[in-house]
Amino acid sequence: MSLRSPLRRVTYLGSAKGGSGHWYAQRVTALALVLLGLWLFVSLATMGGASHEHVVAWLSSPVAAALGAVQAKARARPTAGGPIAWRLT
Amino acid sequence: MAQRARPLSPFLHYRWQYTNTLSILHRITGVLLSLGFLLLVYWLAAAGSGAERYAAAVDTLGSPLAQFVLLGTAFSFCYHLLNGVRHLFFDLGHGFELQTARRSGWAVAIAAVVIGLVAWLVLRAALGGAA
Repeated sequence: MSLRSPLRRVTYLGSAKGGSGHWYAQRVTALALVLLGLWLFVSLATMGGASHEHVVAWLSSPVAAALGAVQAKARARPTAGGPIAWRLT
Repeated sequence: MAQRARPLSPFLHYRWQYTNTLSILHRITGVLLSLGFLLLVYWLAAAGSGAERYAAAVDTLGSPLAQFVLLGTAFSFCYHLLNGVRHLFFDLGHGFELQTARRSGWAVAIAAVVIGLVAWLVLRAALGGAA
């Protein structure tokens, strides 16, 4: 562990070359999540009581599996560029 | 000799106003969404673990505390979605005029409360005891 501050170690090194890619990924995932989020809400809102059979059948459908996987990935994506504290500031 | 006034960090003397309120709310609802989605994960995992576990999870999710968390998640979802779209318009260079920005901000805040409440009621009805 170094006693030097993180700022001291990165100052004057220039950019990390990851900024525009991160920025672009945030916009792409934002647009995707507008649609995927609405799909998730409509799926849940039309569950009609949500019996176990119904929920399992919905989860087993290829469409729900694919859109669910893509949505999970898109929701996780923006944190990949940095620690969560960085996103909060 | 009087000490010379030192410059203050900006957030110590900026006036509190609607712009920073909306911005802070956007971040807070983003964090709350991450937590709220744990409910969804719990519900899905229970459904995948058989009918008995699912029935137990439905009971748990019907508790007042879980219902309160679901209400908060529904509001957070609506606010983050609507304000996110507002920010996408900002990214394209639209909506920066003071009057427009203020109106869209109010519209987003009011719509999030109303739609969030409706979404919560719809989810409660559609998911039976589960929501």
